[in-house]
Amino acid sequence: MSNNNIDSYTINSAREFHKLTTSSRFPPKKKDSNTPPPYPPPAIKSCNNNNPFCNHCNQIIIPSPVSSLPIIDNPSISINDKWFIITNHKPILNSNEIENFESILNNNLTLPEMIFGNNKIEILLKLNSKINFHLIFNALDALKLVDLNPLNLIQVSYADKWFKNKIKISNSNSNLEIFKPFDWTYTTFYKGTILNSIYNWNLDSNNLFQIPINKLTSNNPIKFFDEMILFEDELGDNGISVLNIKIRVMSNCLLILQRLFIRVDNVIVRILDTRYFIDFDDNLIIREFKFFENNYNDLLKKVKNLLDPKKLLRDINWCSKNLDLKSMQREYIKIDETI
Amino acid sequence: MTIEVDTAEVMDLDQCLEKLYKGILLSERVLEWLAFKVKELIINDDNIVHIQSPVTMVGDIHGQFYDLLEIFKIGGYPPNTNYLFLGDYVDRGYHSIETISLLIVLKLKYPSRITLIRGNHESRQITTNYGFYTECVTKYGSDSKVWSIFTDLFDFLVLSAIVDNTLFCVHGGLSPNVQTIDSISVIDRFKEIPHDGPMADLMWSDPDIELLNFRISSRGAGYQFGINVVNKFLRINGFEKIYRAHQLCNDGFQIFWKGKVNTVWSAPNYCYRCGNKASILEVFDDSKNPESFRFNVFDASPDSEKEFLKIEGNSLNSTMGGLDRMDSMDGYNGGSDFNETYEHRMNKKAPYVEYFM
Repeated sequence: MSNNNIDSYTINSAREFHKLTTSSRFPPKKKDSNTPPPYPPPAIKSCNNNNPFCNHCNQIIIPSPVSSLPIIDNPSISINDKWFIITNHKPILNSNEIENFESILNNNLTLPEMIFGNNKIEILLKLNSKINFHLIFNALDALKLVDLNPLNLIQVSYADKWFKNKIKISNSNSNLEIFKPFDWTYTTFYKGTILNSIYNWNLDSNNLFQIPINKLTSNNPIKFFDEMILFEDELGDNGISVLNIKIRVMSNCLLILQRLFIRVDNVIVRILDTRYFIDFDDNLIIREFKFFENNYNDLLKKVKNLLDPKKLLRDINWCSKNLDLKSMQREYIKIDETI
Repeated sequence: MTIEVDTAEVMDLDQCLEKLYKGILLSERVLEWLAFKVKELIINDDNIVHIQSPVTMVGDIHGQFYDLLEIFKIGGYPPNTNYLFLGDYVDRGYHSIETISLLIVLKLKYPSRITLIRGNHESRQITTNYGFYTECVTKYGSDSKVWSIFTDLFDFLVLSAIVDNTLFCVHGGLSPNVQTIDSISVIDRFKEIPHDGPMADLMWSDPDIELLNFRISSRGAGYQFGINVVNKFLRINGFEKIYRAHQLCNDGFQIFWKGKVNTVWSAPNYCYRCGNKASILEVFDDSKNPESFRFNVFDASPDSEKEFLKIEGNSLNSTMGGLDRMDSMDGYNGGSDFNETYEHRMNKKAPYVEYFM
């Protein structure tokens, strides 16, 4: 080997040293402008000093996850000392953590390739120092709901051909074991984990509690935004299955979208959306679940770009607008603060 | 769009190399010429090439060009270090063309020092689904032949390598149709990767520590293989170990069955968001000592993150985009200041309520 090999260790320590010398170059803090905010300032606090406010818009900035150093980043904000929002960003699980996950799931499931098992979004409602409502989103609970014995096992587009050839060749040495079928697309009807709630969900059968878009639009400044992936699998290069979640908190409400996007190339495209809308003023929680699904080729027909049609099928936003809604359910909670 | 594509049509390897190390794309004519020369060079190679240690093995790169440059910084630049690349050069990352271009120029410049094995992404079918096709069209225009130049070249790549007659190296893993390496030699490799058969299995299959034999995947096609299969294959062919890539691992490498099968993964912070480590495997000699090899583990290059932020940041003007990497190339126009990168990458999407709808 050559003499000019450098250890990654050496490079890392050089980088850290470099970071120390350049940290003073961070932009200086701007003075607050005098224009009054469009809404009365609510009592929003950043509960973590490591997460600075943005100089321009006062939003809390979350650092991106780092694999090399175990930095603990647990950004959280609170609203009126009632609502607490905690989010957490970490790299994918390492092999020990994966083993731990597998034992919890009783080894019945081949885990997705990328599990962001330490990522979470947590919402707490504390009234009179009592937790009245506690909601959390994490990968483990989502994976617990993956079907281990699906009735209609989805198969890749060339599975039939593949099996026919197998029978034709019928290699005596191959000695195939019976496989454990599980839903390898990781379709999960996970809607977040309610750890604790003194309230009950009411079904919105009369369509009274739609998520109010006008409350969410631009003149209501965003105080906190975060987005993360809970798990992702490339389905052995046969498509994608990704569970993504994002949250935005405004002065008087918050919105969460958890979206599971599944594309099995040449077979099927699915989106499972769960939205939580919480109105801090009206003490209202709305949960909306939507299930979209189309045959892959039916969706492909909607693409106008003939040069590179498959590009749009990788665009989750485009798919969400063009897939057919198969089912929907809306529930709500009216928070009674007197309880 | 101002992606720098070199317009000079000089067929000179040194000049090509100089440009590629700086991340400048070569012109279509030059790529065509390079691809032809590489095909000419490797057409006579056997499906299995034999190489000697010392050699450094590199797993999946997936268009993470700046991390490939990092690999050379860590492992040494060719020709001072011999390299064996285990496939999956393209798709998913932003710089598949830069990556594969640099690798083929290095192969031409130092034919005996660089070995390129075919991975399952070196295929027409897969590259239309996972970004390489989109990247070619975006960077070279819709009437360019760049994608077919490269995918035609992929048909010529060898299927596996053997180091010091003891280490079997392949992209995916074993196949029920491959008992001895002779059955690899007889494959007609000059074609698109088929959906089944030994050629597909070599590039697609995965080890599974719970297994003894072969198992058909839940997906309805493809295999996972167990310890009995591995033992038998090693014994019949007189090998010590199997090295392969193909599967992401957080620590950059994964060891199965006390080192009988090993995964080498070389794309750090995969897809610019996994936060995983990567590694290259350095084999120093054939002494079989524990010190004769090591996994050199490394993190993502800071340049890689910088490129990501540059491309993602600028893509917001033109497209709201989903999570997919290549879709953002349209908005690429270079330049970003420190202030922008300082803020969290996703914050810019937050103002759009549509992003939640």
